[in-house]
Amino acid sequence: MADTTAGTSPVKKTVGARRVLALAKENAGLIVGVALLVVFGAVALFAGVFAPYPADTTVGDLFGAPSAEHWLGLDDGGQDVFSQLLYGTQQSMLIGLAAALVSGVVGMVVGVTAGYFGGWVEGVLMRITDYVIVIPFIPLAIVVATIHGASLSATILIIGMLLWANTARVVRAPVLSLRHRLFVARARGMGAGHGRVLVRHILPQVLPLIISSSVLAIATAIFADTAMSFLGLGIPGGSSWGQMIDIAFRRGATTQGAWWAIVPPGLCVGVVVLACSLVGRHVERVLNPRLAVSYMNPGDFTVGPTPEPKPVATTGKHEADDAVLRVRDLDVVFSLPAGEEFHALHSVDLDIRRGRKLGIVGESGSGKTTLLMSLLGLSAPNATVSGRIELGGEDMLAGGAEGFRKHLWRDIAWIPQGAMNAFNPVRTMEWQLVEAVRRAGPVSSAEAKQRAGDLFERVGIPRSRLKRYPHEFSGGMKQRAAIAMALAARPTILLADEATTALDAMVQAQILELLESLAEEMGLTIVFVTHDLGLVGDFCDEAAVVYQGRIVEMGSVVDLYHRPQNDYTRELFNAAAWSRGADGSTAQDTDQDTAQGTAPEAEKAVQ
Amino acid sequence: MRWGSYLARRLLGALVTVWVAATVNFFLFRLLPGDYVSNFARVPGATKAFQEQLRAEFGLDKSLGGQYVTYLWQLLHGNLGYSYQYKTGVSGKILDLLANTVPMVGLSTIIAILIGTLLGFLAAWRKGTPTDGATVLVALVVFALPVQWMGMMLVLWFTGVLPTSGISDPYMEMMNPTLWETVADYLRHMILPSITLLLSTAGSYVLLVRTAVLDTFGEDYVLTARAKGLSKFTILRRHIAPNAMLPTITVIALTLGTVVGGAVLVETVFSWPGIGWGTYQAINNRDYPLLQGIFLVMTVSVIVLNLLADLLYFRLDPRIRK
Amino acid sequence: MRNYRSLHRVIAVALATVLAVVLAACSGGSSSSSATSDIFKLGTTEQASSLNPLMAGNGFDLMLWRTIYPQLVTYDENLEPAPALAQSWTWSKDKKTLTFELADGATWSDGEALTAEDAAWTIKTLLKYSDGATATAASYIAGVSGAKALSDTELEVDFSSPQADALGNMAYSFFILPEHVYKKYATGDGSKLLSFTNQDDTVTAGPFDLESWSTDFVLTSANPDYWGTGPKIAGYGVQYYSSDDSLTSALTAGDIDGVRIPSANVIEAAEDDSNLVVNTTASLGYYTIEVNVSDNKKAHRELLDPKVREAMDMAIDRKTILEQAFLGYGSTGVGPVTSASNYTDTSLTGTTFDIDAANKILDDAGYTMGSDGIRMADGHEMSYEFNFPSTMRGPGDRAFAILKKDWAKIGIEVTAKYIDSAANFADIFGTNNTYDTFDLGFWDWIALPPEPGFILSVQTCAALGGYNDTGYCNKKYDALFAKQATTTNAAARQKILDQMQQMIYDERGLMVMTEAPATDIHAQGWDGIVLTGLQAYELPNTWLSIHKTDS
Repeated sequence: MADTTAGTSPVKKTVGARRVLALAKENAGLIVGVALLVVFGAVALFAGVFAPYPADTTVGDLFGAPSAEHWLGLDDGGQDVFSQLLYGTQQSMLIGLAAALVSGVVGMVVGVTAGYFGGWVEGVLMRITDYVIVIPFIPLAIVVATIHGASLSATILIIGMLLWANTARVVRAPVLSLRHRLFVARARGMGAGHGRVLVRHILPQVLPLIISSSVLAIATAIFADTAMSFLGLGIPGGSSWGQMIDIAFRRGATTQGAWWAIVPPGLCVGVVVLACSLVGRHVERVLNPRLAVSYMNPGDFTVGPTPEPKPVATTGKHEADDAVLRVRDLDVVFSLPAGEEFHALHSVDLDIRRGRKLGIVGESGSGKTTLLMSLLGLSAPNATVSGRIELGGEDMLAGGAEGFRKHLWRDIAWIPQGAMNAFNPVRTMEWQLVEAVRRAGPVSSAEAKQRAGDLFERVGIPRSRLKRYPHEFSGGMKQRAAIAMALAARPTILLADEATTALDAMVQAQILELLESLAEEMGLTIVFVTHDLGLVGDFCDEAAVVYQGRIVEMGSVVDLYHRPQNDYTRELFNAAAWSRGADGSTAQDTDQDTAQGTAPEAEKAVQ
Repeated sequence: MRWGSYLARRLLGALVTVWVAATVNFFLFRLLPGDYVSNFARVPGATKAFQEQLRAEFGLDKSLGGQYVTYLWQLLHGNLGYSYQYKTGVSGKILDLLANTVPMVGLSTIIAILIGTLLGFLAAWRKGTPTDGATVLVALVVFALPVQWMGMMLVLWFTGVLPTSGISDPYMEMMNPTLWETVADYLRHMILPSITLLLSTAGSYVLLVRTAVLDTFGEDYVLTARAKGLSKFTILRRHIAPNAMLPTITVIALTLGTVVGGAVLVETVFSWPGIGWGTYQAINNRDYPLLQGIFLVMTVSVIVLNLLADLLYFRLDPRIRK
Repeated sequence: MRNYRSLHRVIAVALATVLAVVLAACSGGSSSSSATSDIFKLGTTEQASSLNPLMAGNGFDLMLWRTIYPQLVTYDENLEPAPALAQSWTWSKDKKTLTFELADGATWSDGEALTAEDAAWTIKTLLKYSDGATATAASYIAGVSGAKALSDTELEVDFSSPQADALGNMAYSFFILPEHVYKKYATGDGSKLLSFTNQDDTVTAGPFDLESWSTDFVLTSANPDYWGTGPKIAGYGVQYYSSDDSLTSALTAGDIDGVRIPSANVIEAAEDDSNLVVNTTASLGYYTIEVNVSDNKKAHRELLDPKVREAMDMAIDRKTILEQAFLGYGSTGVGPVTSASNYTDTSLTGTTFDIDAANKILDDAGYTMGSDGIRMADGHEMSYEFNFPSTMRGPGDRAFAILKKDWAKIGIEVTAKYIDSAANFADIFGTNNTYDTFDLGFWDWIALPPEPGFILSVQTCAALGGYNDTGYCNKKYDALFAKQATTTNAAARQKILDQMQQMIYDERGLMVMTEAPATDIHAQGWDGIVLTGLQAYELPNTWLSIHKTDS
């Protein structure tokens, strides 16, 4: 359900200021963070130029109040606080950067070595890392500073040596997985030595991680310096912000009300740490796109204007009298971050007829998932959905997401791809089925459990398995459970989303058989969304072919197979015939490399 | 994995780490320059014989190896040695100090976790809205300010209004106070230090919980729950919360260990006679046994909390139990 | 989550606690209620360390001990020996026997009689273990060879040689022990005497009884059975504050009535508060720069050149240091026997700040200025690590900044090295107490006891590896030191003392920067505090005369 897209042609581009503005808004944290760091860096470099007074020189009364000559007043030595603050920036930034460098380098070496070589090397290194992480920082800093005596280099080393463990931990995991990746193996196979592989293949991959943890290390280091200074372990005669706070405190700035000696250095620490956090968070967001994916937002989509019902004549299609779900002029447009738009569905008309099994086919990225989600009222928040989606004559879309919600599960149930993480992992199957059962209306706990058991038995899972957790089920079992759950509130329409993908052929057949018998027994209408044409042929009565956001052809399966009207349909069917192997498995099952390729990305883009 | 064998393996691992910590601890503190006796014996008229006598008394006349064996042996008996500074058993002194730290740190941590959880959920729930933006910004800011500095600011503002130092009014007892008065006095002294600690930890909890919750938002089972037609709040409560709390509990357990260490700064600002303040005093007085004891207790508490986090995770996350 | 209910409970408890805190905050609770108004509340930044007077007590301990344990003699406001338990005393002709007449009817807090027998036993015990456990305590009865009780109230003390400081040292830190308590520890090598903490059921016999004791808070009450004229207050309490800041907050908030040995910051803040009375005078404490003058020194031997030290001394801007670092409290310093002492050499006037003269001395001595503004000596730069003990933090940071700048003007560079007291001694002493590595640094001293014997002993050869902080060892000085100790004629003795002070000054191993002030800070409404060079509350007299003013 990504809000971004890699779509190509349908993307409408906007240019100029709006786009820049949109980009700026998207990356505000990064921009502000980097800008602040640059400013502080510049101040550090040119402190001598900017400072109105020389360092460590008495220029007025002790603790003189702020005035026109001394913007931030004077400190306990009669020195200009503003000037001292600038010189302090120099030392604090130096400590921050140098300590981050130390921790980054050590952490990188340890993390990469552990991850790349594995075995006992990893064991030893990670035990050390584990230990360093549990060491209470401040007491250790006290001990080390006392042994070494406090100095700039000692401060940097102490802080750096205590921070590397985090970086090492963060770096190890991806290196471990990279090591197994094909290209590393290949590079090794071609005779590249460890050094070359590490430098050419591994380092570039983990560098962003190292940089982000090093940026956060700057913040931690500046923090640590203030803590050490406060405990009397700072750099003797030093001028860092930490030292300024410490000296002001020791010299009674708080009790004499000389807030100007103590507030500015504290705020400077705050601002730099904040800037580092902003940058760090941005990098984290980029590295962990999962954070951008949210299934909680869908439904917050915009409902576009309802178009006038078109006269039957102009559509050129016949109105099915027995349609339980009727879609008219469905348009879905995603607005994209940089002011661009992506038109995912164009005037889709669809009649889903009672008791039929309709297949919706199309390749990845064609818009079939977008269609399915709009039928559930779960379009992404950046989507504008217009048209009509009628259930028994009621236009659900007119009511927005809420218009759909009261029908979900009671009238329209969704069969998720069971092999995926469709079940809550920390709840028992029974708990999740009971929740579904109760969608039909309040029932006693015992009754709901009884019914959950019945459903399980109906789909061929022993009742005793109810108490188990999802991870204890095989893929096929989970798919059966998903079907059982879909039936829990006695719906009339089932939307099956790639329900048999990723299952082996035997299990796939069993699931289809089960669905078939259920449909017959309960008079269900089933919408089968898949890219597997063979399946459609075997299972469905009718099929709609989706291509680039449009339904290019719809009709009975037999017609489509034998008399495709559309070029794309023809092509699609030919391709399917070609890729469908002797064992009946689909293209996706056999060619994992393709699955890692471009298709899923496009799919994700329009989800 | 079975609960029993999981527990056994974890316990063994923790024990090994504790032993490493104890050993590092022992040697680390021997590296410090200037031993206590030479300081202690620097009195008018001190003779060599007197110094030797003191050394023997504190066991400093033995070889390093001998001292190490004695140290481990005593440790096994819960004996952490004898504090030079307080002239009493280290274990007892540490317990006294902890008794002062735990309520203060505990109170502020509980509130910080509550605030962190509530605001974290709220921010995630309202992701992208001004509520979220403001919450994240405030959390980032309080996280970014040095804790001792925030403490000083509170001292600056609250001098004369609330007690800014100590754990209680020492003269209280002479006024024959009622139980409530005693407790009230204690709580009044606790306000500023706990608020400072609260500010320094709550920010990171908010960010932590928010990320954990957002992470969960993208899970497939949330989509399933959405498709079930459950209200968003129901989903938050029934599906997201239990899953988001898993990483949260682990990280909070981990940070709890450092909270005790971090209390050094807060306790020093407010003269709160707890374990952190004790650390500072001990280093100033070269009280090796006490320092060593505190350091060990702090390290062990982190290890134990790590262990607890693992065990808790094991109980809460059915996926680990196979 | 299955444990929702327990979660609710946790939330409920937490909310209840928050509520309690809020209520507590609102309910107020002032400490100045009438029940404690007759208690003088003192604040200090030093922790109590012991209740056993055989230990080397710190200033806090001594202050307390002098008011709860019996002493033969005490100090008057001129820091001269004055009667305490001993009502009077007589010296024998040869100055080798001292007979004390003790007060009648004195008792210990457990009801046992306090007699000359206790005093004699204490002296004999101190002498018995003077090479070991009781070395510290015995140093305050140096020269004593024996003691016996002539009656319950008559005590005879014998000396091996006449001792000039005998009574003064006793007044400082000789406490009579209850024989019936300590006897069982005076066995074997006497080490039990030292490990005895005396913290439970402490037996006392002074103007005050001990109510409670911990390192951070001590409470006393007036002793109703005191043999002499008792105190005018119900008792006093001493609370420890770990920073000047928290101490000042407590002071201005009215939580405490007085401050023991306040720092310049605290004095400055108190001056601004109309509820507080501030008095200052000269004290026996001083802040100094010390230079290693030991011939064992390996590197930077140019520091052994008296010319170099003289130039350094001339480049110390004592006035600015006093004004900025110590906020003007105290006075510029000359030698270790400060102006507050009855024994100071008044002919010494101190060194005048003169950068040009200092530069000339160094130029003449052939220390050429390097291109980077640092002079060269034997092919290396005159750049030194400067020991900065943790006790000097705060004012010392400012003093160091001033010193560093001025010394830079004469081509000498110093870099501070923070170090704590114990480590500083170890650092100064070097390998096997040979003073082979130390260059120079700060230190702060309080010349106590007020008798000059101790502070002058610091510069003797005997004190090498003990207290000697400059590595100074001079046979002539040592001979003078031995002579003054047994010279009982005050004028003759003072001559020797002056000679010794002159030697220390000329050596310039100790360059005293400033003298610390003695300060009395107390809240309006109190009176009777006696301010001497020994500070305000260290003198037992203060505790006997302090009282509330009638208002």
